[in-house]
Amino acid sequence: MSEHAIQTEQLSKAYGSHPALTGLDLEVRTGEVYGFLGPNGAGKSTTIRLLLDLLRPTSGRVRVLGMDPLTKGIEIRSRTGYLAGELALESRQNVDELLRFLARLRGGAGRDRIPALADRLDLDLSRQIKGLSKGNKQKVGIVQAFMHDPELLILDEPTSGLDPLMRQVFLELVSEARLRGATVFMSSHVLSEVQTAADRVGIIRGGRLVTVDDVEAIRRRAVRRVEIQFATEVPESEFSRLPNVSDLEVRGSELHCQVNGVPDALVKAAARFEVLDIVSEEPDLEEIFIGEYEEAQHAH
Amino acid sequence: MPIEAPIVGKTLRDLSRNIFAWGLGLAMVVAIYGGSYPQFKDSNAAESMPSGVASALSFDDLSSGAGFLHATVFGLLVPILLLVFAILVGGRLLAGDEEAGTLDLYLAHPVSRRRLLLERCGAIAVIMFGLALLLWVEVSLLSATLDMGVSVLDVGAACLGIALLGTVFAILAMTVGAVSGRRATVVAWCAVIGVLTYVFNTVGPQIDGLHFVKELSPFYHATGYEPLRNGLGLGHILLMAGSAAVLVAIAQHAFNRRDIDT
Repeated sequence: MSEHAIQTEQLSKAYGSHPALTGLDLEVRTGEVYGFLGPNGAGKSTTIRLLLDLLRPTSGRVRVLGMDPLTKGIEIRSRTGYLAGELALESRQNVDELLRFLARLRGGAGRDRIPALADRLDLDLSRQIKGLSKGNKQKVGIVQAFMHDPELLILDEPTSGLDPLMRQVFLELVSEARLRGATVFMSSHVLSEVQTAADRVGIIRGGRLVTVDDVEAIRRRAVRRVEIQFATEVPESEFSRLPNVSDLEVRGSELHCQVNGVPDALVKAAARFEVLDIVSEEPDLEEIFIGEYEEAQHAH
Repeated sequence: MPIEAPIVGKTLRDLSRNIFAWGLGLAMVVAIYGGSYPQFKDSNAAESMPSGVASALSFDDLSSGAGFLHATVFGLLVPILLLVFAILVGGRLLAGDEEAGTLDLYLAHPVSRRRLLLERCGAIAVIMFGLALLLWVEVSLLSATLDMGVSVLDVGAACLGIALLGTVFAILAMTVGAVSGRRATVVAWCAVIGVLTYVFNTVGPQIDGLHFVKELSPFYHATGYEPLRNGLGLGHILLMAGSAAVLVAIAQHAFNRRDIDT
């Protein structure tokens, strides 16, 4: 077994003169869960489609499970489960019939697991594909990606359309896959979707890989907006020199600021007053990107 | 080892309503026009037309069963209806599925593009030969009940031409889809090619020096050579089958090189 489940070298894809991906060097280790983050249009889906041989690279090299998708596409895809970002399902069949058909495309692999997986995801197998909600279509996509216990899972925005309970089930499926040694490559434009599941995160922006790090490190660098409502007026000086706090603004009993990384100092300073409400917006990936992007620009 | 062709079955299933509707429509049109033979048998409808027009429309011999069937069913209505159906189906099977994103689902499985294309061509052949079989049974019954005097074998020869005509145009639509990936492009190109080659077959022979253009028309090799009168033309059949095979090869070549995008 090769050390890397996915490896690209200087991978580029252009549509005419428009570059969708520029010199991507990606390394996903065998057995890890890799979060592939980036805003919409950054090249995430283009990368994934190149891995599956739906697209052909303009230049550069791709290896999936140690093989070239162009020549060994069938073998790669028989050992891979794929969930598309914009999963399009059109069929006059019901869910069970479609999933059994897809299993037949794999020579029957995974057919036995359809009922159990559908049960866990609360997916009604007798429903017609036509008229399924986005969430239910996503469940169909998850079942077909996981049912044959593939050694590599490529998941493009896997939790879009799922309610929180189903996201939990999905994350369980990911960690089970990881426990049996599978590699998971999942893309998202929201950090929270991958941070609980992923070991490492790669951030792509404008067709380039901006940074690769473990999730904790990314989170430590994350920017969040915090808003605190106190019972009484608070002096601005109490908060003005706290570590990790910036853009501070205190208006009477209201405090607004930005926290870069761990909010510990801010919370402890606030605890000296009576706190009525505290709102911490989830780290905004777009802002992380901007931070990373600017860092990358400065480095040059 | 049995041949596994799950995509053929799936394609037929997904198209089942369209196939049923078009089958029913074709059968009704054939019944209505074919059934009006007794009224035409003794009339001289063609005499009121200029002879060129009458001959282009094959209306110059409406009193014989073979002439009547050719003028109404096999030379005009069925080929035109089937042309439309073939373009719609062929356009949907590659370009339409690519635009809708449903092609991804197949191609992310261990299915080669070659296999997907061949199974879909197989499904097209099943549909077209199925419709032609229906037509064969229907026209044979009509001919027998209305005393048209056309042999079942000759009707079969015409229906075989019809089956191949539908197959050729549907595969042409898939080929244009494999090159362009756009359904609108498929419809535009195939409609132009369809109308042009139809005219090649009907009007071409009326013009001095242009008789040969009918040889370029699938409509001529399907039913234009009048198998109802002349019997099965093996050369025509082989030419149609060969064209289908060439188109499949071109489609495969283009499809193998395509970036599948939505």
